[in-house]
Amino acid sequence: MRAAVRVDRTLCYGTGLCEAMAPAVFSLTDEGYAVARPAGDRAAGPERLREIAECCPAGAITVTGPGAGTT
Amino acid sequence: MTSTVAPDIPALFTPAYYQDPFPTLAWLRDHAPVHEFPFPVGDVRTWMVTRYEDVRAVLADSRFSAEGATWGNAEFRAAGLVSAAGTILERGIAVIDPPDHPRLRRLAMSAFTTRRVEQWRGTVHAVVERALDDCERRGAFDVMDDYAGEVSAGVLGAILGFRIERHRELVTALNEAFPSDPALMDRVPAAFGRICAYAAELIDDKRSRPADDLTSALIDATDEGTRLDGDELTGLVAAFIMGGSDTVRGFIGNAALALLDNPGQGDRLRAQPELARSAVEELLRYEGALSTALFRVTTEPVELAGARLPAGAPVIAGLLAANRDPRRFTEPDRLNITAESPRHVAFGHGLHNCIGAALARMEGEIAIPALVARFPTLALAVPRDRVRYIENWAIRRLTSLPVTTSTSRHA
Repeated sequence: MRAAVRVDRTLCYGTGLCEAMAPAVFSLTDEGYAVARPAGDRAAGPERLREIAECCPAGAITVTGPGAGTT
Repeated sequence: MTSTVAPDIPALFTPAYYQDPFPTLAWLRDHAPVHEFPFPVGDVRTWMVTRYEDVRAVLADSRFSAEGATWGNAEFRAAGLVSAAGTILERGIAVIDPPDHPRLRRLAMSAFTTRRVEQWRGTVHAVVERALDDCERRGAFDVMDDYAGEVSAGVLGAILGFRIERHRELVTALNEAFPSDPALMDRVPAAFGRICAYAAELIDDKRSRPADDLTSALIDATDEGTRLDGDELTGLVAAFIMGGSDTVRGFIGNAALALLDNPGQGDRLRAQPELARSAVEELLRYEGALSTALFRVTTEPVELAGARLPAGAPVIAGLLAANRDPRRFTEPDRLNITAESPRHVAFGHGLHNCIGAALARMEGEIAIPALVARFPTLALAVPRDRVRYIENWAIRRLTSLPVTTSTSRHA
């Protein structure tokens, strides 16, 4: 089991912070908003995902699952 | 080396450029999107990036590091262009990269998420109303000093818990910390020193007398073992002071001028205050408080939009230029507060995007509509060509913006 990561499109500002921190996990769409890459959460551990979620200015990133807690 | 653009267009970072940078930026976007030029301080070979896509690419790419002290070439460092060199801010949040950056960013961000800044909405309203009452009593006033400055200093002071009488000293120190005139480079270290000293003093004060403010909360978080040392805490408070005062002041001033220049847009905002959110986004795009991001330096040789940059090269990402790029925005030189534009880069992009953006947006969404609502007859008190910008390559703001509120009542 691994942690799952999700970006709330209605909250995202498109600052690109998550993409800059973990380009293997997040990417920006053409409209400039962040999405989690398919299976991208395999590219980082739960603690790293939680760290990125806590750095997000919009609080748009949610991490759930084993060892992740819920942010 | 290229030192000028076209013959009839001001070169970058010259007095004429500061008063009207847009012809230069448009020319560069079209003819030299990654433009090599000698930076006015030390004639250091520098590359200016002006297209939206390239600006975003630079700010998202870890090969363009914010750590000038680590990656900058010898010429860059010798010219004194490493931000805050020799002070604790040399390792401040704005100029460090991973692995140290997330630790600081995470703690700092916890204070400034959209949800957290909501707690300061009442404070912002109170500060804005007080400033407007004072301006109304004056009849004629300077938007920069009497309104924008009062709002930005008042809000920052209330949030961090500092005494307002210190604000003017800090503004002077801020202007001296980011000069564009080579003759003033010798004042830079002292200016950063004063900002750090004030932050340290504020922290000492809050340690002995904790209060319900952000400084006290950061002290608590540090003491609870967030792996932040004393210098990092001081650096963070200093960064908030630097990031949150003159920028908000500059933006409110730029926004007020944009609405005076486009009275139809000001009338629309007055009639429909619910447009505040989209108006602020458009005003940030049209003319935010930053002309550029802070220096980036290449960590290795990089090819960018056809230009070859050596390792250690200083790169300036043109935020204002990107926000006026017709490749990305429709009619970018026209202000349209109801436009649903793509995302602008007025707050930067990527790892170092503005940490206080949610607070700055809230201040703008309250202060700008309130100004036009309180003074329906707001008008320039000086001829338009007397409205001047400061000569600073990174910060875009007016020196002053004298206005009248009502000729009949205050004549």
